[in-house]
Amino acid sequence: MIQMAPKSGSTAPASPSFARVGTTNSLAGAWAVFVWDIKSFFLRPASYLLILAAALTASWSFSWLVTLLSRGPAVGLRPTDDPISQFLGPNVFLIGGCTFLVPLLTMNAIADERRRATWEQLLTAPVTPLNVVLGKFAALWCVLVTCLLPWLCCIIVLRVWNGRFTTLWGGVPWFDSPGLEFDFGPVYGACTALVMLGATFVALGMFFSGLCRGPAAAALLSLAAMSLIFLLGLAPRLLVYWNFSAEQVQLVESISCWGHVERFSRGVIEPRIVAAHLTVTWALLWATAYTCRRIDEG
Amino acid sequence: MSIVVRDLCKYYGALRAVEGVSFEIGSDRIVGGGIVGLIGPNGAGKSTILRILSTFLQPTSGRVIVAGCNAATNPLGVRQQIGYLPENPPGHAEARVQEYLEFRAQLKGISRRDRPKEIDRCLEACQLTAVRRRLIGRLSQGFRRRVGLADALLASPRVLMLDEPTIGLDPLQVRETRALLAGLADGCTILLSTHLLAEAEGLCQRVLVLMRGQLVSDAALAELHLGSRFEIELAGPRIECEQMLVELPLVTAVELRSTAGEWLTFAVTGGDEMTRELAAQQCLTNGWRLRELRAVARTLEEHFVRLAVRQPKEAA
Repeated sequence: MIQMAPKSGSTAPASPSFARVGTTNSLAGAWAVFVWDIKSFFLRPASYLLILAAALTASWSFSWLVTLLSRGPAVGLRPTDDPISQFLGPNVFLIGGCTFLVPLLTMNAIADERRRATWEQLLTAPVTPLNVVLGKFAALWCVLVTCLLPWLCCIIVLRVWNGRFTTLWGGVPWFDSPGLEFDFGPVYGACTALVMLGATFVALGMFFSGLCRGPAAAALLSLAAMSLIFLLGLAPRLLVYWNFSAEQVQLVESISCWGHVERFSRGVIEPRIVAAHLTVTWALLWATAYTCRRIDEG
Repeated sequence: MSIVVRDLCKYYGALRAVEGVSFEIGSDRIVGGGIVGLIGPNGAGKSTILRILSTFLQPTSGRVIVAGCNAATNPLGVRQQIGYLPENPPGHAEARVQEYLEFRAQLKGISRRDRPKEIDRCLEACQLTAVRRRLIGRLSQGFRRRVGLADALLASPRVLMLDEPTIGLDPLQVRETRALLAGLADGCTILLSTHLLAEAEGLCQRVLVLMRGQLVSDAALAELHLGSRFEIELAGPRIECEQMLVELPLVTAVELRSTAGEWLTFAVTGGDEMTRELAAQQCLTNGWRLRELRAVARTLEEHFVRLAVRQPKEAA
């Protein structure tokens, strides 16, 4: 017996006539993705572990800074080394932290959406791939900045205590005697550099996430790229050690991201470097949107 | 027309997924719309076609127009007019049903003021109101599928594209979903892919059959059911009876099914009501006794199997 197609029943409630805005407005789509990704990040327990790890790294680094400052003028810093610049600038804890943090944050951006098969749903909504990428980028950037906030908190602690340090019981750092003249220039410069560099790193991580079908592969690629950037940061010192010419050292310094942070953390903000980072970030985001669509096409 | 597809081809590298597919689906039942089924074996290209129509994939060649918007030049326009349920249900395990639908509604451009009303409507339509505050990750496969369906219904799309909408649902939910889709078909065109032939038969007004990436049949179910087959049981000389049946207009094949004493049963393929009437007249004219003459409706399964068997032969 052939079952005929059911007659139009009335099981579906009537659709109300509501005002449809339509997400041709690019920012509306990007904003929706941004809010959703921020929410999704803070819904995962693993995210809090990540923030905790970042805070612990900052605290550990801060304890080193306090130890250095507590030793006063006797400490063996180079004349050009300002402790604040060293803390927020080319600090091995900060560089190492970012090298691991960025891949962990960005690996899920697109690759995990693909793995969970939610990418298809996202891209069949009335929003362009570039807007999706922009929304995700903004969310991850905010998260990265949140992870770096403990470093700024440490500086605020320094400011509150106005750099008065001593050591108790022969080694434990403590706040006591008046000492350091506090200069906010390096703080502003370093914060600008970190925020700018964070954007470039997140865009780079997202690009690799867009290339992969699984988060693990994306994390590995990002880690490799971040390690390369880390090594590039060390390169100028090595080149000086190996007696390369000043021009060659300058060339490498000019493309070294951590070199940029070092320059900014001396309190000098160079618009040329800011423009370069903005351009690279935008190019990476555009490339992410383009390549991930090519990957989807198989 | 709701959907116009012309010479659609899709290659994944050297692998041919879809080739030369053309069809049109009207905006309502009268003009070939309503609920249209896309059926075929695994790997026939059903999901690929739906992905192309939903603009997730771009065709290698060919033209796709959905709700008046060209998918190649105006993909956003297409996305604004469609509701799409992919093969996999929503994977946002850590989100609650309502939160997820709010995000999707925002993404689909529904204003903040209208969002609660619209979400309530879709939750009610998919019978999800009771689980609206539950985490998606804690829902059964069937419920997740319905969350995906509720998402597709948001913003009252003109065209609904559903990839295996009832897979993973229990029999009761399957029944409810079918009833829901049947109700929705009045307001929009539904294109659903399935490999459950009974589902396509029970739900669709028209079926497109895909085999190895090619469209091998596009027919209204009513046409298939009118069935071009009948069985006749008569008593007469076998050779003459068979000859008479073969010579009837529109008849393509005659097969002797059984003999019981002097009674012969033939299965006749082809022909219509007039053919059957002629067969009866010829029996009487020749003086043969006629005991039974009945039209046999062809099921979708028979149609499908016939196409599936024919395809490899043609390919060979």
